[in-house]
Amino acid sequence: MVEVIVTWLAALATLGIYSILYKENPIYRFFEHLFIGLGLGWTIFEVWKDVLQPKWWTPMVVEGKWYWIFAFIIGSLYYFIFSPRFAWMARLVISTLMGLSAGLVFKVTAAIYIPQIEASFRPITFHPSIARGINNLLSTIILLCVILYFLFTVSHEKQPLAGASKLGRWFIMLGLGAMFGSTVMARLSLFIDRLTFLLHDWLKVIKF
Amino acid sequence: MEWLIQLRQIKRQWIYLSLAVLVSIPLFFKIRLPFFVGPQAKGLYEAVKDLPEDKVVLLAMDWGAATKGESMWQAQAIIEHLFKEKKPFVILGYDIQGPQLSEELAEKLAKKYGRNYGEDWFNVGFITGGLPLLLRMAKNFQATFKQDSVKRKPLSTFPVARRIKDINDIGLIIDITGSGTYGDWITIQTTYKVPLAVACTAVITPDLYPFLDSKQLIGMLSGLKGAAEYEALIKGSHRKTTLKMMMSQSMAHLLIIILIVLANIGLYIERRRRRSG
Repeated sequence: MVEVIVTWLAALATLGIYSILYKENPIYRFFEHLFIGLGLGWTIFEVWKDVLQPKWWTPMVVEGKWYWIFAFIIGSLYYFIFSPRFAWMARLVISTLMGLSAGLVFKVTAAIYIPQIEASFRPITFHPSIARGINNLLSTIILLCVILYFLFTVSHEKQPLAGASKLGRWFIMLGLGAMFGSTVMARLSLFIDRLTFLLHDWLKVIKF
Repeated sequence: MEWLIQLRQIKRQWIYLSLAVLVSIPLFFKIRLPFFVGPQAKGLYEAVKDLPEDKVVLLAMDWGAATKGESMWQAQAIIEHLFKEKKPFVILGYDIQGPQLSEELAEKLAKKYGRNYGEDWFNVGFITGGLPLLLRMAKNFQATFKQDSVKRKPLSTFPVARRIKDINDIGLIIDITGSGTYGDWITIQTTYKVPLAVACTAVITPDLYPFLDSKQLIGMLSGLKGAAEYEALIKGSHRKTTLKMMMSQSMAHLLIIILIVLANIGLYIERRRRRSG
């Protein structure tokens, strides 16, 4: 019985949200606010259950590690951002976290991009595989043209830079086209999933 | 040719309706369009199959209800494969909803394959702290996650959890994500050389191809297509469903392509008429 009620509620919520496709209406607004509220409630519960309770509350209250109270005090300093007189207290916390993040950015940048820069140096040789040779050649041409497009300190009006940067722009547009195609695919997947739910789980008019 | 010009004035509601109708057709009738499994999905499949027996798989469930239409199908296929191959795994996630939604999937599939919580898999739940937390986890897993999220017991009570001391006990990381969380996992992969695969929403796919080329990723599942490919590889319980959904997707793509082509022809004709007065 509970499952039937849940399925009906989910179906009504799905239809309510998709009603925006016809036009703006109060039913859509209702379900939009309901989703935001549910999401927030879920977040508060999970943050307490999986983070604050086991990592902060239990050690501080049950295990007697009283010094965890400082985490609360330091965290609370954030809220002084709303007081012009004591905003410097908030800046203490913010600047500490900014320093930490800046340090991590170096690590992340090196970890993410250095292997990619290494991988962009490709041997342009047609031995042992002609296909790989063509692929590497194309990859190098595309990479150079796109980099040249972003070389703003040199005039792009004269050849050969003009042609190369124009080609670079075309390659960027091809990339953006692929991104758009992927976005369409992603959005449609979400719609197909909901449609499958409505037809299979709710109305039960299709079988797999 | 007048209708082609008029087509550009069509109300968007009609396009939505035709899209809904076309997408529904493959769900009702058997329609077969070409479908193939790409090397990215095969890469992940091989990595799971070849996982050493003493290693555990780490499933980062960084997805929620907003991307359920893609991520849930991927998570389902991957968990089923892990249960089939009897590869132990741990669930955690940056997303509030991901670990809990995945737990429900794992519980259903565990019953089917006779796997037990704590012996074959366990759930750490929602995690915060970003990269610093992951770096700490890499050095000392037990100290970073004191208890699980399901039974709320210390990790030492679960045989599978006791096997993970640090990152060296993790044989494969799979990030199932609907956002940019893969960046942190790539940092972990580059730092500790743990094989990493990403199952992402299709929106993210173009961003990830360079990581496949640089061998930072050993495999990738792209959106619903990736889920269908993986279901086909593992001969999973939902392969028919995902394949039908992919047929729906292809129908929708066909409609969009046809509309774009027709609208552009209409625009071209309209411009020519305007120029000739």
